[in-house]
Amino acid sequence: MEKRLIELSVNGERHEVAVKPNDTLLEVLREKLGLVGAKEGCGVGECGACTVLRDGRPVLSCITLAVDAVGSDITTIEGLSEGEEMHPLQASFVRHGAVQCGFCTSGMILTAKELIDREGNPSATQIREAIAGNLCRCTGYVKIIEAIGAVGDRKK
Amino acid sequence: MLTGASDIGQGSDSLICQIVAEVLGLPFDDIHLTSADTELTPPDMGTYSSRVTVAAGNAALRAANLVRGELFRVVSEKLGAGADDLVARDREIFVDERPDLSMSFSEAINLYQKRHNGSPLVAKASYTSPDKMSPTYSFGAYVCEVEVDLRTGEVQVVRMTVAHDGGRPLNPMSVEGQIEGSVLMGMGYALSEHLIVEDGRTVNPSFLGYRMPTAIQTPEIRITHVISDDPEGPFGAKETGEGSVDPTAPAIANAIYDATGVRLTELPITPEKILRGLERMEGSNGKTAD
Repeated sequence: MEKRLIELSVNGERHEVAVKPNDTLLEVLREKLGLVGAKEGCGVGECGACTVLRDGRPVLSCITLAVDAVGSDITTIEGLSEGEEMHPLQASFVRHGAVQCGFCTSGMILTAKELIDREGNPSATQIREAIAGNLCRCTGYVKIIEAIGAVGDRKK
Repeated sequence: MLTGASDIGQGSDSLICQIVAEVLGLPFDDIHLTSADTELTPPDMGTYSSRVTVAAGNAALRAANLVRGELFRVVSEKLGAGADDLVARDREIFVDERPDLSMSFSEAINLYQKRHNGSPLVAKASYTSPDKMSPTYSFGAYVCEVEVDLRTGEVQVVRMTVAHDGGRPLNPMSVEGQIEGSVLMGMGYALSEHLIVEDGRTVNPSFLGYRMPTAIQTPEIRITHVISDDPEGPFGAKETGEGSVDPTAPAIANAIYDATGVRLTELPITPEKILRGLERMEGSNGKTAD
C-alpha cells in the first residue's frame, strides 16, 4: 500500500511521518515516533491500554487510524511530565502503589487526566466509571481509584 | 545487587532492596539493583507459585549476611570488639550500646579492601527450599457481603473483609496491592470469567466475551494483616500473591447461598445459574436448592 506523508502533533511537537492508510495511531506512535508508553493489549479497543488523549479526550489509539489524527493534538504519557518533574497523577500513582506490572498505567493516567481536567474533584463513582474501560489485572483497581481521588482532593 | 528474580509487578525488586538495606544498615536508595537480566544476573526459576519472596528473598538475605559478616570481621578487629556485638544502621557500623565505637559503612568497605589487596567485597548466595513443594504456606479468612438482584440474578460484591497471614509483611502496601488484585481476580473467577472452548476453539476470545471485573465492580476491601513470624521466610515473610485468590471465590459462593438459598458449585456463578436455582427453589416450595 502506498505511503502518505502526514503531519502529526504529538506532545506539542510536530512530526512528519510516512504512513500507510491502514496504519493505526498506536503503530505510528510506537514504531515511528518511539513513544512506547501506549500499549497494545487487545488490539480491538476493549482493554484501554492504548489510550492517548486527542484534543484532551481519551481515545483508543489501536482503533484510530493515524491519518485520522491529522489536525489533532495528541498527548501520550511521555508528554505528561515536565522534564524530571512528574505530573501530579504520576506522582500519586507512585505514592499510592497504584502501579504493579504497569501495562495499564499509561492508559489509566491519561483517562484520569481528562476526568480531573473536566471535573476537578471527581467522586469515587465518577472515577470508577471513567476508568471502567481500562482493564487492570494486577491491582484490583483499589489503589488506582485512591491515587486519582487524591489528586482531585488536592485540587479542592 | 544482582538477582535473577523477575518483578512482574508484585514488588520483588523493592522487597529485595529492602532486605539488603536492612541487613547492611543502609538507606533503601543506596541499593542499586539489576534484576532478571540473563546476561548479568544469576539464574532464577521464575516468578510463579508464590516463591519469590521466600526463595529470592532468602537468597538476597544470605548474600547480604555474607557481606555483613566480612565487614564485621574487619571492623571488629579494628574496634577491638566482638563481631557479634556489632550493629549496622544508618550507614554506620558500631558496637552495640557503644555508638562512640563506630565506623562508617564506606570506611568499613575501605578497610576490607585494604586487608584484601584491594579486592572488592563480593558475596554470592542461593536458596533451595528444604521442602520439594514449599517450605511455607499462607492462610486467609475472607468474609464477603453480596447483594443479589432476585429479578435479574445479578450479583454485586459489596464488601470483602480479609484477614491474611502472609507471614511478616515486609512491604505492607505491596501486600495490600497483592490482596486487592487477588480479590478482584477471585471475583472474576467466581462470577464472570469463563474461557469457553468448543471443539478445540475458543468461542469468546475477547476481553468483552471473557468478562473480567472492571473498576465499577471493585468492592470495599478491608484488610487485616495477620502477622506470623515465619521461621523459614526472610524476616518472617511468606506470600500473598496466590494464597489470597483462593478464599475469594468460595466466600462469594457462600455469601450468595446465604443471601438466596441457592447453592451453586460450578463457577462462574452467572445470573442465569442463580435465576435457575431460584426457580428450582420455588418449584420445591422454598426448600434449599442444591
